[in-house]
Amino acid sequence: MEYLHQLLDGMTTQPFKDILHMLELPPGRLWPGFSLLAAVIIVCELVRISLGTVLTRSRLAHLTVCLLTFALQSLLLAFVLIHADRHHPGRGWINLGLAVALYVVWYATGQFTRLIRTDSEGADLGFMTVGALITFSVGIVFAFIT
Amino acid sequence: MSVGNDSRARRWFRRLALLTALANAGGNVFILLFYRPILTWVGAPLPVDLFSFTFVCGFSFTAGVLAWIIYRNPEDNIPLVVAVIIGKGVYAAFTFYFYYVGELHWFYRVFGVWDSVYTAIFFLFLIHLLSPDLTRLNRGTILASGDPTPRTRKALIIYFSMSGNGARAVQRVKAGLTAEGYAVTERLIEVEPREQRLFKFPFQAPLAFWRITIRAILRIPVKIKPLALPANHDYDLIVVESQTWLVGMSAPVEAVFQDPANRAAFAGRDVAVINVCRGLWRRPQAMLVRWVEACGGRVVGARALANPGREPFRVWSLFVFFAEGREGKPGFLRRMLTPQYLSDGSLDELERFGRGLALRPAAAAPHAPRAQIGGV
Repeated sequence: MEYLHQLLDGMTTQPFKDILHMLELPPGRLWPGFSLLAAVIIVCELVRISLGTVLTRSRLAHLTVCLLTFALQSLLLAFVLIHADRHHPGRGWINLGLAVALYVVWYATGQFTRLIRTDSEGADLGFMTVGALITFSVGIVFAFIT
Repeated sequence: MSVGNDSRARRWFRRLALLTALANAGGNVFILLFYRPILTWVGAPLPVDLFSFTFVCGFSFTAGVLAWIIYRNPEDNIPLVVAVIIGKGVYAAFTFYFYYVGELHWFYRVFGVWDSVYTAIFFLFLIHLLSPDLTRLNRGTILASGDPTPRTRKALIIYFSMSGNGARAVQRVKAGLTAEGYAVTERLIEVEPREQRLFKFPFQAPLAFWRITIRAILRIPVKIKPLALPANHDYDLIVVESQTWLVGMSAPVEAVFQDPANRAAFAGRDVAVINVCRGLWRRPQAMLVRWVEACGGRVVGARALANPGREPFRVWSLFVFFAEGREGKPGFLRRMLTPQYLSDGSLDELERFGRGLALRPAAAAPHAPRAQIGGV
């Protein structure tokens, strides 16, 4: 039990705190937060498209594809907009602009896969708009509040 | 762009794999040998922990070797592509983190940028490499029969349709087959009475849309009435149609394959698949094709067709269609709503597909007797 306490007390949590700090989109250091989010969005879309034709009997793979169709990305961006507004009030509209740019990155990534594979569906703009409804409705509300 | 071995994209991806193989494997040996002068020239501090420095170089060298193996034979080393994606992605992420906390010299940042770019490149290479058979089918190819037994010119179409879109598609395939002399039998998959109400359209059961959606996400099976299709049936072609439910094949069609009693009916037989959808067809098609193959069927043709209209209007029109239970309603949105049924052009294509299936080339050479079905 003592070892367990030592283990838990000594756990490294700083990287997670740093990442959360990055996602505050602080005025002086926007670029790292934006880059991180862009990387996550790109990876999500590429994973979704990669999993499209494989592991067809796996429930976990299927659930992953479903979540990556729009839910995970849109909820992440909604969370970031809330998180950033809480820590840096008054920047809601700038952050919404960044969210728009990230949706463009998302769309561009999906469409790019059509260049290397003709039967790729590319980005699903339809479901992206469902995601946008989640992200931007939350973002706009918080932009007004803060 | 073709997806065969000679494709331009494949050549480029292989070249890029070779480049990173040389850079990672060769570059890290070079750095390990000459790290003192190199780090002095670029103004980077010498490593405090030489073990960790050497370890990272060794890790990166290994990624280079993996890239070399991928370069040599990409198609047979797809798991290595995944390994390299993870390795390079992790390296790029850690580099980014230490750049953020301000503990990284620019010299090391270069490697982080390199690996982040290569993570994306290998991801794209992976997408390019996976399931090339589906690309061939989607180019319109109708494959030669895999069944050496004489043609009976009888076809069976198995389908499930809630809104009627799939049923229309099936009718045109049937028309194509019939025009070329086939006798076609249709089998509509019927859900067991206990669950029938949930799968009726316009939706009748409470929260039917959401319940079906959640079931589709979690792939909860649905019970269907037995097809009672004997293994020794005399159809020389089976056509299976499936709608897309969210991003997968429809549950009642999947239930056909989930029932062990039906699997022998596909063994050694020519099977064609049709997917009808709003816009997402790739995964449902792959699911359907792989189920047929798992049952021992030979997929001789595949078509995936989407409803007409531009996004995002198409997806929102679909939601309105589900809510209203009929097309073109409510009236005040009519100008914005897109059609919920396949276009005439798509239906014509399906009729041509039916003709093509009827005229598919015979099996090239005698085959072994029909495969026995074991556990699928």
